[in-house]
Amino acid sequence: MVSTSPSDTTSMANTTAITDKIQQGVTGVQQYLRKVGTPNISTFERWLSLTGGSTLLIFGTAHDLLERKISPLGIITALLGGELLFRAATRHCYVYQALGINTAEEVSQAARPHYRQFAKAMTINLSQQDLYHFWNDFDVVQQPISTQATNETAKADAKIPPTREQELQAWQQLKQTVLSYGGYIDFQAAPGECGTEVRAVITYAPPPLGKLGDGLRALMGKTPEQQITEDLRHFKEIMEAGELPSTAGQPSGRS
Amino acid sequence: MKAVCWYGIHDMRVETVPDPKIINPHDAIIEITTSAICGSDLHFYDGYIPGMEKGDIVGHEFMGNVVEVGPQVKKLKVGDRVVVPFTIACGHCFFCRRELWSLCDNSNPNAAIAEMAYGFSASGLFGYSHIYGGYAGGQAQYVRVPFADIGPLKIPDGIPDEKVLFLSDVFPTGYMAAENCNIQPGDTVAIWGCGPVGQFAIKSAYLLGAETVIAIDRIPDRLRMAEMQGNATIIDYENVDVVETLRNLTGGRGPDACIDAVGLEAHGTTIDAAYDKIKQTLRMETDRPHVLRQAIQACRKGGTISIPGVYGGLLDKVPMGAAFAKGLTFKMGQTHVHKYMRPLLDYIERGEIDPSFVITHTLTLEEAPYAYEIFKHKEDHCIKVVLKPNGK
Repeated sequence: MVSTSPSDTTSMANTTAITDKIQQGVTGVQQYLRKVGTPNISTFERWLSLTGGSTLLIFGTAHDLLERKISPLGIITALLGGELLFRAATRHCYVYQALGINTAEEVSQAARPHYRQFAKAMTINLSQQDLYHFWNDFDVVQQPISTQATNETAKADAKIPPTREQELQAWQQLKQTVLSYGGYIDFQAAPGECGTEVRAVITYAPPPLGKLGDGLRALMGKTPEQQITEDLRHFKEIMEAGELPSTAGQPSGRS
Repeated sequence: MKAVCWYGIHDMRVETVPDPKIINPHDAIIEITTSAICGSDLHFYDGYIPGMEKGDIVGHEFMGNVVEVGPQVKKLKVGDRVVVPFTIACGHCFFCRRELWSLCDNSNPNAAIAEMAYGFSASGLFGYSHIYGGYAGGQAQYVRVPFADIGPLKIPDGIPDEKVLFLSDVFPTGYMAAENCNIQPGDTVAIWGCGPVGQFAIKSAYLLGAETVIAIDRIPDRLRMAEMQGNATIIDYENVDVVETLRNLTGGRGPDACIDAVGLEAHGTTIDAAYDKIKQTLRMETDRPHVLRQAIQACRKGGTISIPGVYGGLLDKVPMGAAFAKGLTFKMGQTHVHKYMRPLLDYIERGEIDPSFVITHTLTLEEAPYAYEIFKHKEDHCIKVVLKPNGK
């Protein structure tokens, strides 16, 4: 245990008091800034104001310092710079307010939804009839498939495959992944003789760490885009080839 | 079982590994009677193919007898004698249905990796890098063959292995290369590379109606084989200017079609070849397109460049301007082996061609490391090595 002298304790208490005060000051300023007014400046303008304001503030102050006297030019420049910095910080310009100008992006930052949307598609070399069991699964297929036949006719004519466990498994895997991200699946006839386009449309709240996180997750094969693509691919492989290509357990010089 | 495994650059070893098993319901297990080393195997031997892992079993030209079949195999039976195509195809996707077998959608378990490199994944291949599926290959005593009802071709008794083995790869490869030239009566076809693929391209070009075939190489054994076996006019590129010679041989027009049967490890004596070698050594270029450049320069206006030679990555300083100005057609890709096996077997059965002419060495599996070395360095007059994994 480290023993402290009375003078140490006093200086420690002083230091704590000072840091507390600084913290209070910062919080106070932040709260004040938020109360100033609704944003009416675009993000680009904010950056311009930040750089322009900093420049003017620095030049204005430096001018007076170098001249060793306070000049009107120096003061005005510094004040102007300060005002630009203020509007950059608060996203609010009083001049704009007075003039009724608003250049902010349509949705304010707080209200902008942080969602991402993507779609992944695979074309399966089977007719819509062959895939009847799947596009009729309205838990995850929202739109009725565009076909001239009604559901009843399709049912009657459909080449209903023996409900093989693997096909259902692959479909369930795809469906669960899509639903877990709050998406849906879409079936459309592919042009010519290509078969049927199966498209998964996903909207999701992005996971942490932004772009850096995306890069790391992509390396591990774990982004939603990669997962959905693999599930779609497995579904296609099962439906067309009747199996998933695999080399699991094959011999090598490592075994 | 014994198998030839890759362990790094110029490091092939024959290891004892477990026997293959049925993994999927459409699989079969083949006991291999004859196997071969391909020119494209030299690319991973030299370390130019990414996605290889130490211990990978290699080999994609093989044939043998079926010893086991999976529960959903309907056409093959135990005891059938088969040649197996080196590309693995499901038979049911858009591409297989159109006979574009080497572009199968459903045979690469590592399709996501291939997509990152190429945008889309082509078919899985035997014994050739995890980018193409990482399937254990056929320079071994046994091999597992997926989609056994789709790929393997049954061979009647009475035809020796050596006559039909090359239906697995090099004969269809040479044939497709010639077919891609869209040969018209009177045409002259120039072929760079007199290895086995080039030799079969020469024969196939004549089968398809070419008037003249000109073969280009520098190895005397290969040029001799092209001349004596293939009836080709030969050019030794170390002694003459290839482009000028081709122009003279064709009355100033240039060959109607040019086949690049060399690919990414092209060797040359001109400054662009030196440039490629330096860049590739510094890993600033993945492939050496020396032959491709020559073919583009030499080809007549409106002609066709046919590329069976393997390229993997990115090329530098390829005269696209010349190709555009001359209105050239490019046709290329991995062979759609399944499409050609039956028709080419017919040629063999009718006696119109005996593919065994390319074989210069028959060795045991244990001699595989030596085989790679002499094949690579063209020593001992080596042109094609076959291996006998289960004895003669």
